[in-house]
Amino acid sequence: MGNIFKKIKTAIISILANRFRSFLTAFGVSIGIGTIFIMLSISSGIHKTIQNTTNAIASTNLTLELFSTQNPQKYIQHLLENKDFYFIDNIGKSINFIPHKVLLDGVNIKSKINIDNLNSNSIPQINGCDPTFLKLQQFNLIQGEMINDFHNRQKIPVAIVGTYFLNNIWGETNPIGKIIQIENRQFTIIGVAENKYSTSLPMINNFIIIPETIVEEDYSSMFFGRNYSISLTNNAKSEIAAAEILNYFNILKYTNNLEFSAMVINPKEIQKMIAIVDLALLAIILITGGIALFVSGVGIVNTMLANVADRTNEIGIRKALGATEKDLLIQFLLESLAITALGCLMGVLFSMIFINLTNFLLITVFTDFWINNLAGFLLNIDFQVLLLIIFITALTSLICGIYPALKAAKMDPIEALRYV
Amino acid sequence: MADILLKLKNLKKKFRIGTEDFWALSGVNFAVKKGEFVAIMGPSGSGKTTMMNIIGGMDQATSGEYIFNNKAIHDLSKTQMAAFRNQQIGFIFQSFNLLKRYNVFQNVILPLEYSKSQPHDLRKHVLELLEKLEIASKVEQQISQLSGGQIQRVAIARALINNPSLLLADEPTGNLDSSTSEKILKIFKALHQQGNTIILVTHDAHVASYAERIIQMQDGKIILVSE
Repeated sequence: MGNIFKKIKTAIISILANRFRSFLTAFGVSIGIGTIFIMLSISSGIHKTIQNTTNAIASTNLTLELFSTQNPQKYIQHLLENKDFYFIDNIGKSINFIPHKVLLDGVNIKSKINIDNLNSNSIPQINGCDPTFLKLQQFNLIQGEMINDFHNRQKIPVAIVGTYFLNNIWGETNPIGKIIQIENRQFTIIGVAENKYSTSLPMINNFIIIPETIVEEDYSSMFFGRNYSISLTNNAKSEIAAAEILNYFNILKYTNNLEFSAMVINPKEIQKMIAIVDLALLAIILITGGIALFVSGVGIVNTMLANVADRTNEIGIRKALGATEKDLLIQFLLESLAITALGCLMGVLFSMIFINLTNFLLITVFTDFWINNLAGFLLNIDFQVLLLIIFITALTSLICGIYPALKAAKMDPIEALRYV
Repeated sequence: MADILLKLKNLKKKFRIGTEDFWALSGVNFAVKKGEFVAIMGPSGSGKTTMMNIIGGMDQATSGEYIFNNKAIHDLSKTQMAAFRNQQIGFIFQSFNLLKRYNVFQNVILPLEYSKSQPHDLRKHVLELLEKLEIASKVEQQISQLSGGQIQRVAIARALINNPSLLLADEPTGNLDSSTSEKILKIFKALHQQGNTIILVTHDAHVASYAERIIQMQDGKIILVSE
């Protein structure tokens, strides 16, 4: 053990003796490492954002969207009929898939609300929801009470708000009992919803929920979508179910009718797309990172070869004094490892600063752009990735250091001593 | 026989130069007793450096035997040769061969980097050694700050740090002026008087006169031994 400390000390003395060259190599390595680290943090951030978004919109159910761009008025009357529910219930019997529930998810409207300084991007999503849906979605409150069947049946103008809308747009600290106006109708706030999804996607909590019956009555002209949630049994084949449902609505029910259309969002399909995006990102990172690492590796080989050439006489002296081939091999490998370690440290440090600074600027300075255009995307530091980078760096250093180290170790002591 | 330190028996060394073989040593027979001070003299190409490299364990003979302290050195592996150099031989070179970026202390203890054992109180041991060589005050100085004579004293201290059985000096005064050379030669004489075995390679008859025995070499052979 003491022996290895001696060798580490020797390596450090040698690096300090060639500090400019060693630092330049370490700097080259740090660019390689930093590039990989930042790219992986971008990839990890994108992955997280996509996952949060898809978690938010897809949950584990199929979502059936019925939409019409031509005649919203007509569309509102076009709720699912009993025969539609009957069809969906029966799909399972023929294709070994059992949809056990079809739920009224609610309707979304675009509307104006009476809050100052509201730009078009800050408008909350307004949903009309059936109380049963809220219950089944395990929708919880942090304050107040839930919209119930009574509110919905009697069309009582009450509302539940999301935390992002409350804190970042409205700025009201005690909203319960306060009045908010949506278009021409006033609503009393009765509850605040808990954050349902990750805080890295705060926009998802920018919403107001009102009874579904009021939406149908007062805001029908503003409809832009009606969703139904179809939950499947565990062993159901979601792709087949989605195809069957789509076929039913678009071919059988709405044949030759251009006003209506149906779309089925299948979370499994979305997961597949995420996997493809992830894979593509990973490929780009591996190729770019590989090139960066290769260039750094060439730098290490170059520096270490120059080191060996410069120190030929020293190698001769050390051999004359009793250094074995193994001693010199270890010494030069430790030197390349130490240079790479320094580069790795610098690279990680630089990229940490870059990542945190970028995230800080996105959140504090470019907030609107960040929320509206980047969907709350942040660079993400993954510590497992960090460990992997350190491992890869050590491996690169060993691979790149082995040839110069072997060259030093195999030198003939008599020839080496002649070199001055 | 007990006081023989090393023995060369019909030692031959062949080098290949281009397509031709060149015999640097062609059958050398030679022995050195423990505590002896021997000088090897000869013109360039006489084989004295080759012989010294083989005695110092830096090179292997093509044929013949090399016995050191009753052990066959000609059979040793590279790693064993390295240990032999480290434990048994103290090298002193004409061009000093110290590491310029190390200070005096670091240079002196360099052989210990490759030793299994270390003196109990290393710093004290080094200072005692440097005291004998009258350069103890320079212990923390960089090599570049020392004079030629001081540098050679550091090299002698480094050669002595492992208590070697043999001091091997290759033209140790070759790069020094005459008054400094005299001082260094007196150190060799003192070391000999303290019981060290010394082999010194030189082309200078005055330097060789400090030795007990002078071996003259020519064309890879010993041609004259004078006591």
